[in-house]
Amino acid sequence: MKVYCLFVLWAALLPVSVLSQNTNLNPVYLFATTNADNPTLEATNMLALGPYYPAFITKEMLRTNSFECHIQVSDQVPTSGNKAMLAPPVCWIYTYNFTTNYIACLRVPIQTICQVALLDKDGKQVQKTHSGEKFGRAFSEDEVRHWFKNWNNSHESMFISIIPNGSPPYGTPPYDIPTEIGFFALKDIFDLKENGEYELHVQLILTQAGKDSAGKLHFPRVALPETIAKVRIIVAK
Amino acid sequence: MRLYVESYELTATGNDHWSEYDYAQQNGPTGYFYVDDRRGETSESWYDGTGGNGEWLWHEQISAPGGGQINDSHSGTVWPPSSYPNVADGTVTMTGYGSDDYETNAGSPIIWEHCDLGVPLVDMSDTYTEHDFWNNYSYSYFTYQDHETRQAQAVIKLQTGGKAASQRQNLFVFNGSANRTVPVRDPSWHNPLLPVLQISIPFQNITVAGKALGNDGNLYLGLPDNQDVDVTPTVSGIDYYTFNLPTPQECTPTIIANGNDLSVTNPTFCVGQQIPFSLSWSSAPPNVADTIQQWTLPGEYVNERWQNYYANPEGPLQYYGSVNYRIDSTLLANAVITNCWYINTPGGTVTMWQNLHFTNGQYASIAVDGDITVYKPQVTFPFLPANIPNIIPRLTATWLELGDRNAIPTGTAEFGALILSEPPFTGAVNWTQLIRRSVTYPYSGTGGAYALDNSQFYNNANTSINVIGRSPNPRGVVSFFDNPGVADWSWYPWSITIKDDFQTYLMFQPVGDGSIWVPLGFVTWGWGATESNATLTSPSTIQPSYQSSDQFPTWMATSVNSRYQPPGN
Repeated sequence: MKVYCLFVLWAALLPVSVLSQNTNLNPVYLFATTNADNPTLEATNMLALGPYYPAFITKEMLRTNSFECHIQVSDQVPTSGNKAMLAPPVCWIYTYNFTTNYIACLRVPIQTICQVALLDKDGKQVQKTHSGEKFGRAFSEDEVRHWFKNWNNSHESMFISIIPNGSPPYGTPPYDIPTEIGFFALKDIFDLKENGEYELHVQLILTQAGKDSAGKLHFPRVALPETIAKVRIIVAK
Repeated sequence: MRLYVESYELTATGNDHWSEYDYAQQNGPTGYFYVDDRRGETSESWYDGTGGNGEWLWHEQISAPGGGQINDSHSGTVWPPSSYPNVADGTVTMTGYGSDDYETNAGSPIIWEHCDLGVPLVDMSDTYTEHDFWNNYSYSYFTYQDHETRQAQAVIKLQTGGKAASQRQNLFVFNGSANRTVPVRDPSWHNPLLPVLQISIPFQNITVAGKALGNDGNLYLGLPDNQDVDVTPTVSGIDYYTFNLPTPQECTPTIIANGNDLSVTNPTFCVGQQIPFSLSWSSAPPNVADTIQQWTLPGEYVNERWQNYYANPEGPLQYYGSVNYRIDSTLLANAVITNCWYINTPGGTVTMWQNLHFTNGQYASIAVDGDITVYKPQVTFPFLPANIPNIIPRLTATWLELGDRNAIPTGTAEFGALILSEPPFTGAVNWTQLIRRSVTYPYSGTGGAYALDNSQFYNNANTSINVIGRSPNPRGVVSFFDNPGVADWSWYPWSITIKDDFQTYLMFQPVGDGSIWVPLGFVTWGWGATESNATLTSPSTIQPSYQSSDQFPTWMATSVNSRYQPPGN
């Protein structure tokens, strides 16, 4: 089966939520910053752990919510060297960081940080594949801890550094560069059988690392607002 | 292209004396005497775009027993400005004898001819005597003398055309012919336009633009744009001939670069993009036996992929090390350049010269050029983070390493680069890292050479350079992380010294069939330290610094040494 994506709409933040009901996460926005833009945010009582500016290391983590998830569906596929990693169409997931600071989250598997749903023209959810059923199941804190301790890749940081774009629209510096969080192939997740226009819903759940005053690791998670894209899919058999 | 008559000039003079005596000899009747003297002068000239003039003078004197007569005529013709082949008719004005009734309209004076005849053309006399035996007398005596000169020349030219300042050479295929003109005297009439016989002249004796026609009448000329070339057919040794030279077939070459006609566009290509070059003709040259050619490509490019190998007696060649690229100049002599990848800006002018060998044995050369522009994505380094944290040699429980795996992130090599492209050049980037390691036994160094660090592509997944977010420019940020070192130093009672030098190439591959990974630049960095008695000494570092480059990473061997373990708590 081949799946073609002919029509892609940029992600948009729409009020209709499908996925937020699927998570029990408390929608707090917990990221390290020394920026005093939000002085009313509560302290987290944790120390930053991640590839921040040296000035951030061991500094207290404050809360901010200046993040946005973007998704982009295209026929451009991710590659590893000279090989395609997935078949098109592919949903690319990005995060905009509207602060002026580098923020980091853990590079946990995309399956654990991304909840997805595909609605047909009648608003009915498309059935997921076997892999798709597993997609979106977030790590428990113990699982995150296990992943964290067993990270064994000297060529890749366990952190994804999220590029600061400044205040909307991109402030200073005006990078306008969302950070790539991950990607997945639509046909790997959804049992696509009919051509048509669909709504793709994505909710990103980022995981961070911090130490409390006793030196114990914590892995707070943040659910970003749900993002929706309209996608026209042609299923060729 | 325009084939045209640039000019036609004619001058002709003629005079003749025609006399007849008709008289009685001996006892015959009264004698009869008739003399006719005629002189004529003709001149015509016509020039493309200017028009021309003609003049005809005629003097005739007749003497006869019944009384003489003198006839003088003059006519002038004016051809208004016009351009060949639409030659405007001329207007004739005549005075003198015969001017009471003449044709006032004159057509084109042009004859495709060459004539250079001197005097005399005809000089003959004849006597005819008939004897009347019955009456015993004779009569009739006839003489004729004619002197003619005639010079005429049509000049044929070819405007090759083309864009202003173009240096392109086009192929022109002529097919010409010429006939020798042999005047035939008709004494009963005196006409400057002499009756003639036409005799075909062998093709090989006909020359156009200094080059003889082939035995099939064809002539192949490579002529540059914007030239006005004299293509008047000439025949050596023959002073009077007409010729024919139809408008030649023009074969205009253009360079096609990856489907783009360089005569109509100046395309921009991206580094790493495969750009085949070929020659295309507006009209295919006929009767081509074979060709030789030479391409000249500007700027920084490669056109051949190669790799080191060694012979395997029991199987195919064994290739090893990096896949490399270079220029093979012999490939530039192919009619089609199949492989060409640019590796740096700015491009320039592509030229192609071709010599065509035709079936009639002739050769002709053409040259054509066109401009291309090469684009190379921009790199901002460092980008992530904006200031690269210091790299710090560490001695941890079991590792002599760069950075501390028990405290994130302290001293590991971590940096990123922003790659900003322009539409439509999307693609992917990744790092290719070379390591030169010197390290104490029992660890293995790289023998003083740079070796590939683990694999060609350092990051497992390439970073997509794509249109993302709200900007139309494809872009992406590629990150780098490394924590090199050696483990289990405490097992060895001697000191351990390590020194690593890294060349971390930033490689880019544009989207498109046949594209290759090309370097945008490379980061140099390194570190060194000694473990002695469980103490770190002599730490040294080279902080990562980037420089733009088009040098490909090359290696003979691969090293798998680096290791990183996550921090624990």
